[in-house]
Amino acid sequence: MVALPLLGLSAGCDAILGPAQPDSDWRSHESAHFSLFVRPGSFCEANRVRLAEVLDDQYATTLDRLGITYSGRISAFLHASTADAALGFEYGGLGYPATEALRATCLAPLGGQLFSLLSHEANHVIQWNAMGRPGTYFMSEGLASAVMSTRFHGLGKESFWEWTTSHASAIPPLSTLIDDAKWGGSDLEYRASVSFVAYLIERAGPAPIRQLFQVKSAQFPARLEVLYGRSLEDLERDWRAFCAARPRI
Amino acid sequence: MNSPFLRTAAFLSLFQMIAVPASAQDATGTSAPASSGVTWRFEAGRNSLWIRDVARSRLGQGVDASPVSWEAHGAAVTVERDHSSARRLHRIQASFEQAADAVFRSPLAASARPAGDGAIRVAGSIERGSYPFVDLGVAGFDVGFSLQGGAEWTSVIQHFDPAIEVRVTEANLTTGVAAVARLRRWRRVHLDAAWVNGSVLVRTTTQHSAAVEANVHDWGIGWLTDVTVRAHARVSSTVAISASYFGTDRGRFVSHGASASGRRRWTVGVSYAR
Repeated sequence: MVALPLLGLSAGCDAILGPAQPDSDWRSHESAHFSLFVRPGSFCEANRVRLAEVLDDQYATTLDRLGITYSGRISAFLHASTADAALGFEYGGLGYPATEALRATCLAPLGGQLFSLLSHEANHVIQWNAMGRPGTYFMSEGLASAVMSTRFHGLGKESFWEWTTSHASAIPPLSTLIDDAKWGGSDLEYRASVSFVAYLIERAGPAPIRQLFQVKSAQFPARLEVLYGRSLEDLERDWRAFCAARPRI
Repeated sequence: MNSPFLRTAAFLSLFQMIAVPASAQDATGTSAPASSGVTWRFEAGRNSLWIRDVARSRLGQGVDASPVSWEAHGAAVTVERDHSSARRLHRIQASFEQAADAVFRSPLAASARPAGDGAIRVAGSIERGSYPFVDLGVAGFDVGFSLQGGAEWTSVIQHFDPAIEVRVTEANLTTGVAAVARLRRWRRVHLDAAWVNGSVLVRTTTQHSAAVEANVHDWGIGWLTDVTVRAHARVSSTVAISASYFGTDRGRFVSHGASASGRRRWTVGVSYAR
């Protein structure tokens, strides 16, 4: 450990902790709400029209379902491969609200997994800029997929509710999921947060969600009870029962 | 968007402990005069600022920063009181910077941001150190180190369509260790340089015009790397003119609000030695 500060002194904090400069090997294509940056000759460039269509549809859906106002233009950087994205995992993306940008791996096939990934990252940008910085990872990640449009794919709220029933025993209690100190960013945590937040919107509409978006972990249970008239534990039972009662897709 | 930054935090915490109560803020190497008198220096010029939001940090692999940067440009003013001697370095500095004319710069193009986008920064720092290596290899070339500490207040305003205003205010305390060098080989012209690395204790307040919470407060940590290069040309026994470059790169780790940023400042001015 002593070597770390010595390394910092020899190379400089910036060399170790600073960001790399983005390269310029991109082509840009404009849609109604997005500037798509794609690699020349890539799968994403060939499918840019459909991707733009999916993202513009999601943009309008998110504003409508949350009752929010935002009209910023988002720059979406679509990497041609896992190595190109260099995210440290095979498939994924990141959103950058303050600079109205996102970047993601953009791999074949052209379908629900890719559409939902790009929509999720775009929703981060839209929601943070329209509602402020989220207070928990639970709300940030949950809401980004809870308002997913199903016009071009089937990975909407119904699929998350069905998943909840089939994975009920594996899902940690909500009291754990809402705690940022315990959030690990696993697929299980993501899906459970999406399912519960979508349930809250289904139950009481978008207004309480806007009130809850910025609430931090410590205040989350109390604010939830004020907004929904039910404790966190009661709402968790309601949610699990709701999911179990849904018809199979 | 998951960004715990735990390993980075551990590194910076350890760095801060080992770095003694150092500090860094607009560190300006040393412009040590030959005598031990007090020198006042006033400079003014231009500065530029860039900010990229960070979604995730992985120690040793840099950070996942946005491919788009928010950039702005404006004026800068600095005032220094230098009480250095042949081997000792003692300086107090204050600075003011303003930036506007903001753009989003992507790898392919820049697009103008609303006229209200901009930044203001007020900072002060104190620096103490010494030159244990005098005439190192070349007559008049001295190398040393210093410990620096500072405080700064910054405010960055951004606007998003259609009418959303986001104001992020930071109150920071900085500490750092500087490697400093100076070249006093000639009678009228001196050169100084400093390279500083350190840590930052961050307190942010975010105001978002469309958010439910009017003010959101957070604590965080950060790092800094500063570089200063300055040339002095003496025009009389008490007066000199100077030209300076100051660059700093920063990282800020706040829950759900990390960023990387950088500033570049070019100033010219005059100094008066009593």
